Amino acid sequence: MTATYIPKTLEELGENLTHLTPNSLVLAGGTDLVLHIRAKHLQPDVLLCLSDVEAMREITITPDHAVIGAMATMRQVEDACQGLEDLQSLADAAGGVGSPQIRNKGTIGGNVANASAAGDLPPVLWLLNAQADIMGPGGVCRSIPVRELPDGSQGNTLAVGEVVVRFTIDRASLRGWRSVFVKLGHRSQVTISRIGMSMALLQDEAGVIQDARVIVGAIKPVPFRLPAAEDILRGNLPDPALAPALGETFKGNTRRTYKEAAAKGVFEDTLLRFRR
Amino acid sequence: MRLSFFVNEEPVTLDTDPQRRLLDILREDLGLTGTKEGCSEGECGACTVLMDGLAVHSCLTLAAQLQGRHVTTIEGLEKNGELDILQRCFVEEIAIQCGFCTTGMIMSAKALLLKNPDPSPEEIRTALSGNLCRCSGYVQIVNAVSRAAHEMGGAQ
Repeated sequence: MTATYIPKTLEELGENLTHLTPNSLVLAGGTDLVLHIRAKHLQPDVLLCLSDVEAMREITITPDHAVIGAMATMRQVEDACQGLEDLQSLADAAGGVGSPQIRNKGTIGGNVANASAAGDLPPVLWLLNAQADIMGPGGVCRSIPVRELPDGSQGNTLAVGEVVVRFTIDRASLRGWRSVFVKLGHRSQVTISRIGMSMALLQDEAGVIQDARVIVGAIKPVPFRLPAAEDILRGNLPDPALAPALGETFKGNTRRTYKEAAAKGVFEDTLLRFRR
Repeated sequence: MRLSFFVNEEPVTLDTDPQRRLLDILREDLGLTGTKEGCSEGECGACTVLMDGLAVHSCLTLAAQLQGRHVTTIEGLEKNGELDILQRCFVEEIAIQCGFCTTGMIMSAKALLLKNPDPSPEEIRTALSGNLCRCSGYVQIVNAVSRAAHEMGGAQ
């Protein structure tokens, strides 16, 4: 018999979290979890449904910060970040997840906590140095960098009874940066990432790259940073002619050799997005 | 759980398992069989309904997520015995072969037109990207949605 909790407030959530055990399930949007429940005939002792915690759906973006509730849907994240140069990668990634139906229900918190190797939001949140605000039993809160959430084997580092309640991005530290996310899939829409390229550049007035960050998803079990690519980018214009050299930096990072070749095209597409 | 929500603007209250799917509640408990079960995995879109005006998969929505929500199914589009313009345009544009995907297609199209009354063909294709038709192609379907938008006054 499953006990079901459907909290409406963060206070209720904190109390409900005290009931969770290793056999419990946390339901965010449900676009992955419902599949798992059915495919694996899961019978949780507790089902904690987060969909009615309104405070977890809120998105607040100011010039200095972006605070995104973990239950914000992909669609809400896309709409909120679209056109903001520093956060454009978030809009790109959220807007490319699954189908419209999935984006209307799937949440940013679920995407991160699910920790799929092919997840599109984790590399972007890492790119933007996002912090995950976590609530545990009794409402106890802590905060960790998003990059510390995946456990390396397609799970997360959350303790029993913990959930991510929101993500916080320090926009003040991103002033002047532009970011994009480009996804390579087997088709143009409703596709799972084979390469998830997130890139942020700080350019001077002439367009020359002063600083660069490159985080790649869907290659290894967790996203990884590509310092060699960042070194190539610094001091150059975002010229697609750099793509072959950038693609070479994939060597040794993937056993799938086609991705080494494909990375060149993905870098080219990514750099084109930075042209002014 | 005691679940109270709205289906096609009518209040519905029932005792149900929190893990019961909206798809099963609609088809088995409420007899609304217009919503179809295709893949049951959120891939094909045949089970698409509107929840608070947005297209969602009823096969991936659990009762626990429904409290107080407004669900619209294909049965809710017809008003006073008159088909919705979208439904009529699908018929008149012959955008139907076997019909199994059609209700999901129409609900995704409805969600699009609620948000964007004057969509481009590209926007229509994106809106329908989560709905698979395996009988034919999508040309008549896109035409039907374009025509419906035009007839609703969205397209100039």
